[in-house]
Amino acid sequence: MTEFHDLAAAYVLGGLADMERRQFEAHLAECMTCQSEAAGGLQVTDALAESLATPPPPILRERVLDEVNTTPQVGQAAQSSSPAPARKRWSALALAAAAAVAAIATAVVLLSPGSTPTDEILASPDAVEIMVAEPVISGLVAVSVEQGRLVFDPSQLPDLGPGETFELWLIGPSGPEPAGLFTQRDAIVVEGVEAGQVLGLTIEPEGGSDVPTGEILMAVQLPS
Amino acid sequence: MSTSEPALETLMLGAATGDQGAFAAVYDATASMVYGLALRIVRDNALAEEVAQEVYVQAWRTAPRFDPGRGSVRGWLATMARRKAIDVVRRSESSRRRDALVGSWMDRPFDEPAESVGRSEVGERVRQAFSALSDVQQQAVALTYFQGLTYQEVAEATGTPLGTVKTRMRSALAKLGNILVDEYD
Repeated sequence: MTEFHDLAAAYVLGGLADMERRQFEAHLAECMTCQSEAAGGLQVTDALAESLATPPPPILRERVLDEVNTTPQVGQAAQSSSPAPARKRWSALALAAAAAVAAIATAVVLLSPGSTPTDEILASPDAVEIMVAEPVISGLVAVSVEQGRLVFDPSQLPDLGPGETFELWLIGPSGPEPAGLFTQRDAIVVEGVEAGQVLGLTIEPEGGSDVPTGEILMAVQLPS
Repeated sequence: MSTSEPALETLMLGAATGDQGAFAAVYDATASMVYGLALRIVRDNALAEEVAQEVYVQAWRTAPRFDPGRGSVRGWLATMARRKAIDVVRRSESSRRRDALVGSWMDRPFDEPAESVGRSEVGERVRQAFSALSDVQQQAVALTYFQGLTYQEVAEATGTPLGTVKTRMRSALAKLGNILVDEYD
C-alpha cells in the first residue's frame, strides 16, 4: 500500500483517474501522513481558487436565485406536493417488471420506491445532467462518472412494434456493449459507466441483441 | 469573501433545510471564487456564467447531502466549478489535440483570461508564488488543476516518467504552501 503515499498531491490537484482516486480515498481514511499532506495541499488549492476571484455580473445572482426558487432539493417531494406519482409510477413499473425483469440485463437496476438515484447521482460533484433532444426521443441523462452510473429518464420515446424492445448501449473504444433493455417510459439506471463513453439507444427484437441491429436513435456523449 | 468557513458551513446547513436566504448568502460569499475559477478554465464570460449557474443550482439541489466532515464549502463548490468547467472545455474542444493544449499552456504559464482577473492582493501573491515554481512544476499543476488531466496523462503529454510527474506535483504544492498558506490565513 506504500505506493499510495506519493499520490496525495495528484489527488489534491484533481489529477487521479476515478478508480485510482477511489483507491486513494480508501487509503486516505487510514493514513495520517497522507491526510496531513492532503489537508495542506487543499489549503493551497483553496488559495489558488480564491486568487482567481472575479465578481460575476449581478444578473447572475438573480438568475441563480430564480432557478433555485423553482428547484426541489434532494430528499424532498417535487413541486407537485403529492407523493402519489412516485408510488404510482413504481406500481406500474412493478407490473411491467414482474413480466420483464428476468430478461433485463444485470446492468440495469429498476428504481426502487422512495429512492432517487437521480438525486444520488447529482450529489456527486462531477455529476452532469444532459438534455436529450433528438427528433424522436427526448429526456434527461444524469451521469456521474465518479459513481460509474447514470440515469436515463425519457420523456418522449417512439412507439415500439410488437416483439420489440428498447436497448441501451455504452459505446467505448472497444465498441458498443449492451447496457440494458426497457419497454416503458420510466427512468432506468445504468451501472458500469466509464468516462468518455457514448450512451446509445436502438430498437431491438425482444430479448435484446449483443450488437446494435437497429438504427441508432440517440447518442449522448458522456463526460470524460 | 471575508465570510469565515464556519459561518459558511452554518449557512450551507441552513440552505440544506430549504432556506433560500441562507443560500443567497452562500452565493454572495463565494460567487467571485466560483465564477473566477470557471472563467480561468473556460476563458469565456458567457460560458463561465453558465458553469457558475449550474454549480449553484446543483449545490442547492444537493445541499441536504453536503457533509462538512468531508470538506469545506469553498472546496466543495470549487471542485464542482472545476469539473464542470473542464467538462465544458473538453466538449467544445474535443477535436483539439492535447498537444496543442500543452503547447498553449507552456507559452503562457500563468496567463489570465482577461484584464479583469488578479487585481486582488491574494491574486498577486498567488501569481508571485506561482512564478517561484520551475516551469515544469507550473506545468504539472496547471495541466491537472486547470485542464483536468490525470498525472498519467501529464506524463504522457509531456514525455516525462510517472514518478517525476508525481514528484513535481508534490514539490510544487509544498513550495506554494510555504509561500501562500501562512499569509493566506
